[in-house]
Amino acid sequence: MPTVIVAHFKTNIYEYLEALQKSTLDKLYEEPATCLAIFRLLPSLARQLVMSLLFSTQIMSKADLRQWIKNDKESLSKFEEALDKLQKLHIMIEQENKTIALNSSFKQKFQECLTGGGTHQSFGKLYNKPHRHSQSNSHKLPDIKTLDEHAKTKWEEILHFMVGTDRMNSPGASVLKVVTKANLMREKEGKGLEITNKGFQFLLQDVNTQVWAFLIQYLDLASEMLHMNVVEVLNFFFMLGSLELGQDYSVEGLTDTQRQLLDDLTNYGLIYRPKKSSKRYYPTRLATTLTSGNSAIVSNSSSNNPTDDDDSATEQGFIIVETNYKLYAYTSSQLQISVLNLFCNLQFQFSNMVTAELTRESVRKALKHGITASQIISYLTSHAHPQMKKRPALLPSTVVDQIQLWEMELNRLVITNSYLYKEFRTFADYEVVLKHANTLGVVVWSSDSKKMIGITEAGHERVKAFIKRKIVQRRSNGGDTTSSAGGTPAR
Amino acid sequence: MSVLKDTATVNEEDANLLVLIIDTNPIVWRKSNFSLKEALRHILVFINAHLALKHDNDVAIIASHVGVSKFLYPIPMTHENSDKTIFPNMYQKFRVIDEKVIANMSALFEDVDTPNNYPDKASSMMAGALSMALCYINRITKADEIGHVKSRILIISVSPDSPYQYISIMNCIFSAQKLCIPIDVCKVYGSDTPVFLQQASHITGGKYLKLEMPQGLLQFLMIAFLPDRYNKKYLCLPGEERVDFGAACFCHKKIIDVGYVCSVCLSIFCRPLDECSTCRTRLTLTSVRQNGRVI
Amino acid sequence: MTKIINSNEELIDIDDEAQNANQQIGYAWEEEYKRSWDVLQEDEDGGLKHTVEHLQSRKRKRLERDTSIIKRGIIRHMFLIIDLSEAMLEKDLRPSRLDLTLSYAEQFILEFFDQNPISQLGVIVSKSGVAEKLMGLTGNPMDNINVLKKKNIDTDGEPSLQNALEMARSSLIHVPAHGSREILIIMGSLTSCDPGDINETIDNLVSENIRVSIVGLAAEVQICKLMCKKTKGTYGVVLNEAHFKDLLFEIIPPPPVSIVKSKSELVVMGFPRGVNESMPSLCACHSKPVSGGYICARCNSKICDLPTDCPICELTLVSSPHLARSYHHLFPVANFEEVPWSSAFTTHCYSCQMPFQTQPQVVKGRSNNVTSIDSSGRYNCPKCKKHFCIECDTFIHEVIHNCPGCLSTSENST
Repeated sequence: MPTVIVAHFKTNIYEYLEALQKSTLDKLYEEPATCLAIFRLLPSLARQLVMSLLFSTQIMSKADLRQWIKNDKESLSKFEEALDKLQKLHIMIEQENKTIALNSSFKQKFQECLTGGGTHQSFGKLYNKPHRHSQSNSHKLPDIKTLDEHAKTKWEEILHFMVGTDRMNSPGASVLKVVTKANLMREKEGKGLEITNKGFQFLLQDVNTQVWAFLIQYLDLASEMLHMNVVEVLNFFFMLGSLELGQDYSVEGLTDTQRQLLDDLTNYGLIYRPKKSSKRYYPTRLATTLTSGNSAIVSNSSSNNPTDDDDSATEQGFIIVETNYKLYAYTSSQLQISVLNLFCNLQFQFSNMVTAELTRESVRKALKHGITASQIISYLTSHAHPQMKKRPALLPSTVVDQIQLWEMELNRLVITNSYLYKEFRTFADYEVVLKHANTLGVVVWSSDSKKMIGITEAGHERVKAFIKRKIVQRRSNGGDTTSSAGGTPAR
Repeated sequence: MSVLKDTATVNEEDANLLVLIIDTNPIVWRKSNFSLKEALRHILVFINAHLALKHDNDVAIIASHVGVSKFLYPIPMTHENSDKTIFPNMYQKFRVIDEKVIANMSALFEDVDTPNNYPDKASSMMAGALSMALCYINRITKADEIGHVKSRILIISVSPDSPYQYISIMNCIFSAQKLCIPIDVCKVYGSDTPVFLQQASHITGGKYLKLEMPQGLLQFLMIAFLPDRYNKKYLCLPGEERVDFGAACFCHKKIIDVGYVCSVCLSIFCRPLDECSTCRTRLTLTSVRQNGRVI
Repeated sequence: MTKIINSNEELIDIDDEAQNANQQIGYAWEEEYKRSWDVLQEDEDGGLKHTVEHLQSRKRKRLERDTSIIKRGIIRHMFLIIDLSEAMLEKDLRPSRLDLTLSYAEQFILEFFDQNPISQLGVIVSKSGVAEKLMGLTGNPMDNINVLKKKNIDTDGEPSLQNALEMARSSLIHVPAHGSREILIIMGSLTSCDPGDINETIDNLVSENIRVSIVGLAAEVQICKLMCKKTKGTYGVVLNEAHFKDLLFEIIPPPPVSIVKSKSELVVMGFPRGVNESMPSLCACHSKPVSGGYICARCNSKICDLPTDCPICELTLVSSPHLARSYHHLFPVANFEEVPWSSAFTTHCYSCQMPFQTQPQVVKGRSNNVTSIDSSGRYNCPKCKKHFCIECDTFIHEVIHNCPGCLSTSENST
């Protein structure tokens, strides 16, 4: 399954962490909740390696570690990848004497996390004033539905604003700042903001990726402009990921920075607070699934459908794609429909579903907005209706291939700077040069009938030298055949 | 066939269900210099480690006790546990499971009547535990429509084989093989080789490992038994290759090399009989054929 | 505890009733255009939930099995005869009779050896009036499958029932008396080109105790029916692709055997140890150097694969798992009984921990809705009295063949 993560777009928390200073990472590892969250971001084999070393007291070298790995190419490359990631995140440290050890603070805190020791309170402090049990209390414990509702409205408010469905008023200033900072929207001359290509790509991602992308931009903003401590902010994010949905937590024990964060996160729908000044907060589903890595728990889809009353129904996808490029989306959410409109021709709308069609024009429109074919495919994949998931191949291969072909149509010309060699005297001369150039692997194009060869920029010098050598050879052999080689740069 | 889904191929994204069967035979544990309590501490950390690997990893724990086998986790709640205090120093999921396992385990040990009434005190109810594990896995696999959950079974064993359970354990092993569920076996204590369990891991493609030093249980669990089915593709894990396919005779439950087999019901006997004790067929002993196979 | 079916006949006639029931469905070409949506009925909210649930519970209709402990011929010797006449090119079964037969035959062979691990199977094909033995009796499923996979399987002319039967018979009469002798024919043709009187062959088969079962792909043929009846085999004509498979796979469970006349023997068998050597040594069976293998329990010679007969001392060598695979045929689990609401006090399934529904409070005036909840969803093992859900019930009887309740409680483990 193609899980597309747009590399240049720092959506991935992992890449953000990798770019952090080693000392910052060390500080992060002082919280067990953070250790657990970061641990879960690692590739599978890396997690196993960490676990194998976690309770070991032996000193290992890289060669010792390799003993655990099967001696085939795939295994070894996975192993190298795992080691590389571990070292980049400063979880595993290679010392001068070639021994490998876990980062000592990571090791200690992660052990604590598994054994339940320590007094770090990094998994959230409960708000347990006795009054919440009494029925007479004015605040009733918000049930999970309220929390979901809150998360959904707040988050969709942001997305709606981006899409420009004008039924919402613009979200808070801090949201606007993040959106412009992330270049998801830009200032349109005169009137307000306009969505960018990045913004379109953003819309196609699953909610979890969106939230992280958003938080990371917020993090940048926070450290630059609000002078917040990155470690504290990150720790707070990771702690949120380990909290229980539907529980209330106390603001006590939070640092000033983190209390400040609460307000902003309430605006994004990650946190619910009954009152601004409340001494407790409730994480919503957006927050508790932050580190679980699975997608779209708060699906923006048709939760108002009366028949599916349980939560699981809303988690599932809603799109059915047929081999004839017809698309049926069981949703009544304006937002989902606008997103679909990015790359489909909408046809009919019913009370609980819309029908649409994927056409060359509609997909090209999306591609021109900078959305890639793989993004469309991954969006369709991740939002596929459960009925589709029962089939061996999720999406019809005709549709997948065609979307990719439409993308390739736009990339038919590849421009390579090169030198054109022409006017060889004889075919034999042409052949010798071509053969040599082929062995060097620098031929871009050649034509036997026209006796012309295109050589890459990199190979030009070597081919030129070869021809000169040949000419010198011929002359010294007394022959008068001179092949003229014209090096003319061409497209 | 009940399971048509592809449970054989594994992906990195799969959720893993670990069904842990703990042999809690108190008589055998008492003989060991490594107490069950100590072992449980290691096992709980191991369970936490398994859950830490992935957020959607899950676990089920079954105790194979003397005279009874019982689920320790999960147990459907009859009355909602009102004590919902959250301990801020531990990940909530870890704590819930740890507590339930400890509570149910001590409940199991308080009920001493069952073991006392049971004649065979040397072994535990492994066949029952395995059957329950398979039923549980069957239910989870059926509920998961897209074949996302990959299951395996790990047995922490101390007791010797009970010959009475031979057929039922073999039935479990073949079912596990059919469903592509590997059975890993970690023998913590005991000088004997559990032939049945060794076969279980051999036939289902699991690992069998006998600990020389039970004190190192956690480290062994972490290295040899934590890797999920995806990671096992890439790892060389410790394990013993040699498998003894010895069979137990039905009459004395002895492990034998050469036996007499009833041609009707395939019961194995260690000496020639006139009548099969299982199916009451009158039997004649074939003279040892001189031209074994006639062409 | 053992119940023996006494019968004066040597083999119990296992012609089943199920076939008659199937006849009502009719042949594939007789089928009318199905209006499957007509079955659906909306409830008052316009939902389909009830209809779907009803359909599902009907689908899961539990099969009541015969659980009496009967003797079965577990050591089987069978020849699979495949018709390769021109009639097999018909395309009334998709993709064609031949292709479907070959792919089902492969599945059949695998499943046959899975369920009957110490049995032997051979393959005979028949075309243009002659029979050809592709593979003699062997205990290795892959040998048989490889023979069928070779692409030289062409069709030609008419089959010869008699030649094929005689060829199978001549091989089967030599097998030891403790094993069963069976022939399974997959027949596409309605005619047979025989050199002599087939009735003589049938009489010979009867006297040799060879059971003949036939799966016909076209229509019922009198001589086939007669032959199956006389030899106590089964005869079925396929309705469609799925029915073909059902008929074929009905042959797989070991047939019941009465012991009045068939000889029962005590067979000496060895359970060899597996070895893994660092240096390869020669094996006794192929004289090839191999590093892994098994050591014969009696003469210590080395063999590559199980099950087999030791080439030196001729001891039958099996691994205990091979024998154990058949045990569930011998000790079936008792059928579970449905638990009425009156005694449905359990909260969850004993084996998979799935919570049960509690008895719905019957609301006065809305009694028309009770149909969907008329069963408590609990099934009770008659021995240990534990309650199981329907999923576990089917799983226990179809796959595990163990009752988790009986095995987990001390009272019943004797």
